Amino acid sequence: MPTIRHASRWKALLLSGAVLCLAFNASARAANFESPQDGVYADHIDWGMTADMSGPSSGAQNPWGQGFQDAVKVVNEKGGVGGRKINVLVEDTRYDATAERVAYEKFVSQTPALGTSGMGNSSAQTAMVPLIKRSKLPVVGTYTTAKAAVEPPTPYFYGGFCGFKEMAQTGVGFFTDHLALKQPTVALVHLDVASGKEYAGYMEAAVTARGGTFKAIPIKVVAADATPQVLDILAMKPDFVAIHGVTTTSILVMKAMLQYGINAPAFAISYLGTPTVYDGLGPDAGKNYYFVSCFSPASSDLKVSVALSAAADKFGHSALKDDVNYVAGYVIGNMVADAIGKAGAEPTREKLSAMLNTGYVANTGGLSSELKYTPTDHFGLTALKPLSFDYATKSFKSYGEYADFGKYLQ
Amino acid sequence: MLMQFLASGFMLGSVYGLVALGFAAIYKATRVFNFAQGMLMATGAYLAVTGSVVLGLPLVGTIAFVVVAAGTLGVVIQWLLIRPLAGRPLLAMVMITIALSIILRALIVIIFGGGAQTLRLGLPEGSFVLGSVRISAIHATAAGVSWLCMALFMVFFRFSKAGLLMRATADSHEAAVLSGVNVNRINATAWALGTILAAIGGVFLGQLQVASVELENIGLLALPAVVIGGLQSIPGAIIGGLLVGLIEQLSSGYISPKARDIFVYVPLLIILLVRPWGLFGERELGRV
Amino acid sequence: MSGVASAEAVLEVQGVFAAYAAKATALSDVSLTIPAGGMVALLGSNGAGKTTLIKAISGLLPLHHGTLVSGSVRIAGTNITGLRADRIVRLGLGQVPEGRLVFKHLTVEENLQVGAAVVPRAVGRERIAAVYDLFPRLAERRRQQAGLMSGGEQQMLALGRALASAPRILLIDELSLGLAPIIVKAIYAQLRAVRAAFGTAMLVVEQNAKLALEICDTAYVLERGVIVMSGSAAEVAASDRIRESYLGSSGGAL
Ligand SMILES: Nc1ncnc2c1ncn2[C@@H]1O[C@H](COP(=O)(O)OP(=O)(O)OP(=O)(O)O)[C@@H](O)[C@H]1O
Ligand SMILES: [Mg+2]
Repeated sequence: MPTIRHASRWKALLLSGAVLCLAFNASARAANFESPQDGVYADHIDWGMTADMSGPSSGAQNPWGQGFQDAVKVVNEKGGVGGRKINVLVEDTRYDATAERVAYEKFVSQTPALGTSGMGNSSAQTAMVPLIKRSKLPVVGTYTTAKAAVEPPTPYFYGGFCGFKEMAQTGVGFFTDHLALKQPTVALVHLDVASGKEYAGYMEAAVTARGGTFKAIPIKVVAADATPQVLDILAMKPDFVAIHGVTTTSILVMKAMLQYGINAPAFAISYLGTPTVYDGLGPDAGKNYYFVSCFSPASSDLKVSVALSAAADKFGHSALKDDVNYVAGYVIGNMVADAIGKAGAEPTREKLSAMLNTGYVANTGGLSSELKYTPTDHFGLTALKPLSFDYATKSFKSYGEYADFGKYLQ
Repeated sequence: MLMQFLASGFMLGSVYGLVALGFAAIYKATRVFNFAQGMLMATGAYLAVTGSVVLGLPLVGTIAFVVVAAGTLGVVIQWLLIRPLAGRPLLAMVMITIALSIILRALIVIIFGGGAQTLRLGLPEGSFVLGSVRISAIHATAAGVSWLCMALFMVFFRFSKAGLLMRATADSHEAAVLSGVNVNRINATAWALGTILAAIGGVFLGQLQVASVELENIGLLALPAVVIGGLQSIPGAIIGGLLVGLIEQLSSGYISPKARDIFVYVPLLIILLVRPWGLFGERELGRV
Repeated sequence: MSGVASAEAVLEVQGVFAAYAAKATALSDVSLTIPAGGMVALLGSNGAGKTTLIKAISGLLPLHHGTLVSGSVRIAGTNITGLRADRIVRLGLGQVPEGRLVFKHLTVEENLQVGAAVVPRAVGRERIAAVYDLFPRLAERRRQQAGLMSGGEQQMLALGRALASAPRILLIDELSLGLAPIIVKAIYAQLRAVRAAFGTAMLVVEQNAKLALEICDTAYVLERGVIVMSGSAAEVAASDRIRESYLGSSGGAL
């Protein structure tokens, strides 16, 4: 996850305190009522969803949560799964690890759910691995996937977003070939946080594997300006640039590159391929801005996005359908419904996780690359493709099919 | 390279100086250490979004809208939160301003959602070369407008009647009252001006990147700027802002982005230790 | 002590009780009347309540954690009891407070301008010119920062600032504090000139009873928050009690 919290610590405490209070209130109310096995009732199934809906990374995670809920609403309108409606229990965890844990524990027993999705906080995931193994409430389709949560795989954790390693490999491979380079010179601007350093490692490996030259240039999350970073880029004269960060990072870096006349293309991590960034950049700075993604914005492939567009329009999220984060949530929402259906007429947590663990392929209708779990791989999505935005037609444009870029992955 | 850093540091520092000046205006008149200044700045960016995107106003209309709305917000804050607490201990005031920033953030998230909003006011884009230095038009505009606002404020503060009464109130609350100054009105004016200056800074920072609540953290750089320059000194706030901008660019450029905090806050500590009244503040004049 | 409201009274204090948070009764049943253009001395030993009475009149008590418990204060017939201090100033009350309360960081000229801010610009300009006439010392230093002036000059400035607001009634609290006797005499002479020129009424709190009784028409004596004596300056000066406690053998203390 590229976003990190930077609200001051005591604010975080206050907020998590508030979340705790709310959680306790809600659980106190729910605890004494009928509590059937694993959140499966006669007419509905409770399913958990946690996301940062209003905190520091809500700009990306809120669309994800909307996409997830819209997908489930469509499923419910069509009669639900095996005659049961899916009831999504949303917890706004505000990118707070404590809140994430509290929400998970709540779904385990206080308001039992069949499974939970989202959990877009990799440090929380890492810390919660033992809890998840012990509680056996399956986490299905996460917004980000911590290495520790899937290596080695546990039957109770399944990722749901493209990985940093694959982003780096796809981006470097594509631009090296696209620009017909022998040994690429690549600059990476990345946040100086854990995920940024991890990404820098993957980028360096991908570039050096092709005998290229690599430089990682850190930037702060809260930056007002990217002049120092871009002067570094200017000095290096890279063939192309990579960006890891938040919305602001992309905008500052691309605008400053334009200012200093650097014409090299840049590709960003999946999370940053949003209309907000392209809007903020405008055509001059935005024409060189690409991203790699395992999810397709609606306008990049109108054939496969018909249902997604209809759902987005119907639930008042038309503006979000070109946001890969919304698409990702939508895809995962559908996958969850499908997986529940495949877990048998009377699904339980055990049946669901056993089904996923033995091998599962989701039908994402082309909105993403292949989404599948095997007993040895719970990451889910691997292939990505490069995309950019065409300001003239106001639509996203992809540079091939997902399968075309599998060759770059090792 | 150095010239480039100095130039971009100067331009960013000008915007910081503007926000810091707003902070100093509020502190000087009302003795409130306003921790909400960063959030007021972010609010300015959202006011611009409201004006240009939501209301569809042209550039001039948006600016007028931001100024009027920010001024009103400042008055309301003073009237609702600050006035009832007049004379309370410092801690209460500090807590109020922190609460204010949390409330403003929550309101923005409720109204606009947590995501960033694009802010494009149609200000000149592109860049030009001046000697060996490359300058982006938007940075230059930001610096230019900041200096214009700072100059206007200085003229107001030095030469207008309201500015005189504001300085008098800052000097001695009691003497001002017994000279017939409506101190509440003066304080409200100070809050209005401080909020307007912060909001204008926010319009530019939002334009340089996006309007987002995280702008608060940039706005809070006004605090070290003001302390370094001298809490009581209006020119000190401006120079403190410039210094922070220069320090930020030079330290990120030559060392690392993280070094900024060290190079901003170490001088702050040193100043607090050896010259607590700041580089440009005056030591209290000999009281009888 | 006259309790009868008089039409020409510029200041009328009636039955005022005042208290501080830390002192239950600082003034008790104080009444006092100043006729238009009158100069009234308020005498009393330290802690008698003179400053408290001035603050009760000018509405500044709340600023000092005090309250006007009951009674009323009128300026030219208008009831000002409980009004905000700055509004009272606008109704024509000027004040030279105890202890040089000037704007230390402002210049002499700016101090006077703040004083004149409550009257129309033309009147203010005229008044400031008059102040410079009265105190040439201030005119010489008009660009100087007030905090850097001598104590006497600051005292003149505080007086000048009050005069610049063209008050109907001026409350003056211990103007002589820390000033050389000759300067005090000069300043009081000028106060009489001010009254002659502008008809300004004055309530003068003064430790130097002899001086005060010389320049004022009437006098009140306050002891422990109670008016113990009042009358024409001559009557008060002649009373044994005053001769013993205030005038003494040396004929005036400073
Ligand atoms: N802020 C205050 N809180 C509590 N008590 C006060 C306060 N100010 C004055 N007093 C008390 O009220 C009484 C009257 O004080 P005041 O200052 O009016 O006396 P004064 O006649 O002006 O004396 P002086 O000649 O020394 O100036 C004194 O006993 C004093 O201690
Ligand atoms: Mg006194």
